[in-house]
Amino acid sequence: MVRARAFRRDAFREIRRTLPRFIAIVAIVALGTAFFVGIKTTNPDMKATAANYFAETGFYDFRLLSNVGFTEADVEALRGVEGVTGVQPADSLDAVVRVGSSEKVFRVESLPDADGPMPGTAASIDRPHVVAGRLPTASGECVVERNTLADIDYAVGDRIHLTSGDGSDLAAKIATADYTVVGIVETPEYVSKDRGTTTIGNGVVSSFVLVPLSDFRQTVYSGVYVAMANPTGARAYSAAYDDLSAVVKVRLDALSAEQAPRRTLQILSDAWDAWRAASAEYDRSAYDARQQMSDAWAKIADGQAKVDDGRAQLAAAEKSAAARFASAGKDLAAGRAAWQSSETSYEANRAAFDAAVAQAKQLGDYDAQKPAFDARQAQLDAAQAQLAAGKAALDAQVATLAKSKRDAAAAFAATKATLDASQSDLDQGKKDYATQKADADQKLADGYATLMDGRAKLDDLPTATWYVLDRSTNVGYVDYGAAADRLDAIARVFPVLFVLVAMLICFASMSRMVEEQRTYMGTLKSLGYSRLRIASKFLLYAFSASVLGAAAGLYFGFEFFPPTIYHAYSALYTIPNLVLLFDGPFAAAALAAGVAVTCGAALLVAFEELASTAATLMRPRAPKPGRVILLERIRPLWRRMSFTWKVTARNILRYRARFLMTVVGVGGCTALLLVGFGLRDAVKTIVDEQYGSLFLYQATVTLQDGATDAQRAAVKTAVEAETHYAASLDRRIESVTVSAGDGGVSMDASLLVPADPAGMAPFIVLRDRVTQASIVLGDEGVVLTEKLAGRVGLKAGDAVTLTDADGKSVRTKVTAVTENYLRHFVYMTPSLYARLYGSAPVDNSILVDLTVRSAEAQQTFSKTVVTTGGISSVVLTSDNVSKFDDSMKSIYSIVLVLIFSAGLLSFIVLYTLTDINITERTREIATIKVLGFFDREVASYIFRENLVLTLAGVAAGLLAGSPLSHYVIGSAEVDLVMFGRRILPASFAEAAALTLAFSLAVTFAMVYRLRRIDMIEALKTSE
Amino acid sequence: MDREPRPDFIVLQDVHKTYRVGEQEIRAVDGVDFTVGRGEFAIVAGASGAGKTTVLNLIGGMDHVTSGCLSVDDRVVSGLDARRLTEYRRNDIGFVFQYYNLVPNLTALENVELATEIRREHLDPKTTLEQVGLGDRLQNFPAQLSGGEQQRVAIARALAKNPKLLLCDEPTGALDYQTGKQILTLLQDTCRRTGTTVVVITHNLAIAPMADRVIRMKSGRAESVTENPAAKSVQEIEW
Repeated sequence: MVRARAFRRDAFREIRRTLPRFIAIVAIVALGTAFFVGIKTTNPDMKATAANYFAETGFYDFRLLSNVGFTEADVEALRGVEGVTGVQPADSLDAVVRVGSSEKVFRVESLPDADGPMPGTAASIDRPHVVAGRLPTASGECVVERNTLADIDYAVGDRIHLTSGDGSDLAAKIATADYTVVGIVETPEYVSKDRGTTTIGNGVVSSFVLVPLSDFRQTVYSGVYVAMANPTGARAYSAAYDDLSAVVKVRLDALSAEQAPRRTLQILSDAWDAWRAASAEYDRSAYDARQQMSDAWAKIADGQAKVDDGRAQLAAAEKSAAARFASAGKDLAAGRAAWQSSETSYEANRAAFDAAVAQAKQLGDYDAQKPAFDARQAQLDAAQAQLAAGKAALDAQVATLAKSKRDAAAAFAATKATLDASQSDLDQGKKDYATQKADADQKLADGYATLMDGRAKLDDLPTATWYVLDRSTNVGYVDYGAAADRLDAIARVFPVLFVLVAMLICFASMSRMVEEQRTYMGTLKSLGYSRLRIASKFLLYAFSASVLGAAAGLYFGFEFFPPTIYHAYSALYTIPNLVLLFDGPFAAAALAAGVAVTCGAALLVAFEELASTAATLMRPRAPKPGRVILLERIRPLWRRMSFTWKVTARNILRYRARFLMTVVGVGGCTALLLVGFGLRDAVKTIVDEQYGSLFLYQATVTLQDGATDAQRAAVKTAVEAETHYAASLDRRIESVTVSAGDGGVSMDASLLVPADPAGMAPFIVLRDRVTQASIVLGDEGVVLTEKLAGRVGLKAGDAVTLTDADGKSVRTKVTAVTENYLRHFVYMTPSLYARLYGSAPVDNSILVDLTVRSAEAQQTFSKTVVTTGGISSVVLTSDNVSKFDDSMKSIYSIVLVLIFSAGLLSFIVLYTLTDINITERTREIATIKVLGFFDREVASYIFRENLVLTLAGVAAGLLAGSPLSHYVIGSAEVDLVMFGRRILPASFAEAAALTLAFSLAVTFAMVYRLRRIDMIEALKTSE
Repeated sequence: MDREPRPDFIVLQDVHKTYRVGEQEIRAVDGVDFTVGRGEFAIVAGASGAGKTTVLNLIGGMDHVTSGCLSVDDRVVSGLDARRLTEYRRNDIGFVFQYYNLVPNLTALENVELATEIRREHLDPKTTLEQVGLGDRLQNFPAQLSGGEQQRVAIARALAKNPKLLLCDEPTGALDYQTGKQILTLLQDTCRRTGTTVVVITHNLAIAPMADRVIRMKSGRAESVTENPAAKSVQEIEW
């Protein structure tokens, strides 16, 4: 026991004696452990954070969608599914909201009403986490999400006005279009920045608002959230959760297979019933219409008959009247003739009398005859009177006849007039009838057509389809999980480097220590100590160093690394602060690994040495013989090297282990730095290249859906009238889903159709990233952006399927793949669009180039133009740049960690190696001091080697760092962006310069050590 | 041999060297007085701890004198600062170590060049090596040479600097008898041939007859200084 204590004391004294070396081992083990544990635990930490958040907020386990919505019966049926504990029907609609100068599409989603989604369940699903304010309690109140995008920033009390965006009536869907923000929330449904696509506005959902479910007026629910029983408390992202989810999904799928056809049948029978009713209605109305028309016609025919009759009677009356008048005329003529002859005979008698009188007078017989004469006179007068009377009678008769005739004519005329009036009435009636009939016929024909249409529609009624979506279809959930998993990919690379270096350092230090202790070991051995016993001193040394180091590393690894890395991600995901886990077994394993590596190195070295006999050990070790190096055989080169360089070359190649260690350590440092700078470049490239070399326009003016031609013209005029206007390009942009069409990966992208493909170059550059050759957009196919093509697995010449928001798919060829860093695009010519979609593309946005490339000019442009009617939004390139810059700044904290670690790594490596180098060569150094080397010369004699080794390490680091940084960059990439693939030459230079600076720092620290070496050492016996 | 009285080349007057180890003061050299004439072959002898090595260190400019006066070739060495001392070692001193102290990674020639690199008025390294009898060993590494050969390289390295003074610390200590003899012969010959002053430290008084002057050290003092006008050649001595 006493001996053991003495032993321990000796070991600890050894530590004190070689404290810097000891600290170096502690530090390298700490660094390696911290890196390994840190990166490795960030993944579970991140997942635990998310899992907690999902559990606290009741994130849905399933989300059900249907092309025909869900009825109460569907909801009821879902409640009966085994393993389902919560069912929450929901509604949603997309609406356009004006935010500042542009229009954004908001997804309006329902919050379960206050009385809860399902009586008997404790909590609702997808409970928003209220950041400020409160949840809505009344119609017209809403909550918004927390700062999704820089330019949507609502405060409690703000008002939001919804418009339909496609001209449809929003009032049919929702109770009010005006909402007041009463709270700001985060929801587990949207963890990432992705909000999905839509068919209105610019096609991209910018944000969401939550309103009470009762505000929706839709007859069916648009979706249903489902929570499943989780008796074992399986956590999000765990295999147990996935298994549980898979089981319930099978049941939900089964219900869907049962419920959806039922719904289909119901829809079908409802439709048939409706059609049959419509059909009966049509029949009835057709009969009524026909009846009315025939009645109308009968009336007209009757009237016509009466008129015709009247006309006949009139004609007959006229005829008989004419006959009567003719015979009366004839009688009158006869009377007049009789009277004429009476008068004639009277005249003759009068004349004969007068003549007889005259004769008689002449003859005088008058007297005689006077009585006769008188009688005769009387006779004659009577006859004359009679004649006069007859004439009067005749005249009266004539007058009477004339009057009769006149009267009859008047009566006839009156009758005719009446008849004519009736006839014209009838004629009008006939005309009216004709138009009415035509009308009625048309109506009937239309009705019939509608009916037949309805009938035809019955044949292609939608088949109800349910989509049972589990969490793996939630973009945020998957993205976040993938981001955490990417860290594991990185964790596979870095710790290897650190462990390797840590091992080398331990080997070097332990070898040196064992070397120094040869005599001591020999002595102990000769005294009869066992080998293990002797080695235990070194073991104790290594053990204390590694336990200390690993413990420090664990602390930093668990406490410091995850938050730093998480900070870089926090800009991308809306999730609460990181939960730090402590994984005991893992920590123990990491600790054990660190200790094992170090102690293993110590034991290995000690045992190798102890294999020699005690006597050998007590003699000084024969110095390592010098050797002719390869370089010497190249005579011309060797001759030209100065003497000191020859010495350097010899020494470097003599200590190959040291050479290897320095190259690995310093190379690792350079590689780490290069990864850091490469990451920075990669992120910088995104904006620099995207908006500096590829997207050259400075503003995008988006037109409203359904903008009129006049509005389009006005917008165009306004744009062109702007002070800084240089040029513009019309284009169509819409959302599509791109896939290879083989059921593989599909990606959302924007389909971009420039109105003038030939004139696109000044606005958007299409080029191959590697060859920089420009790409011509032709009619034979589409051009895809690089990351999109890569993710979907397409290359030039492949067939591609584009599916639009309505589910319509077209298939064409990929002609080329173009360099692109931000978002995904499919470029297509207008003629190909027309061929594929059957109609020419309607341009919906204008790319504008300004004469002045500055944020101010862009702002001015935006302010001037945005007021023009018909504009949905004006997006400025400078805004995009600054927005992206902000979100990517976080990555710089990772770069800093890398630089810090790299510096520490190179410091430890160089310090340890230089330290060993110096202690090993103390005698040599003392000798050259005695020879009269100045301090400066001594330093350069030793450090020239360091410089060369460092340079070799830097070169190796630059070589190895390039693929390493590509791997890390590839692993760190998020879906929406492609990081730059090129590390800038300046970064190579920076990494090299920084490594050299670290190495110089070590050198300066060591110059002091060299000065202190006593020349007396040269006189001592070999160690 | 030349027996003219030689002018004093090395002069030590009441030289003290005190080391401080913690609270303790160790007087390694405690008032040494002696002189060595130019071109002499001097031997400093004494038991272990007598202070002979310290004296050699002081003369060689590897250590500062605590008090007293030390001059070499009329140059006062005792007052020089570190840089001057380095210059002094560089230009005036050649040093031969007990364990040769060759750089193992350099060939014989290169080990000599290591010294000539820093001295402007140096001799040709190759010639020097030939003079010490190693003309055919130029490209050998120390590990490929015997102990005697290694010491010859060390002597060549010291001589090639063309020093005024050759200091040797137990040059035969690690060598067998015959080889030791050869080395001593070489040193003596060099002294006679080139007129270089040589100071050899040894605990072996048997070789004293070969020296022109013998300084016996004891307890940090020069116990006696004996001039030996008829120095013998090494071959004449047996021990």
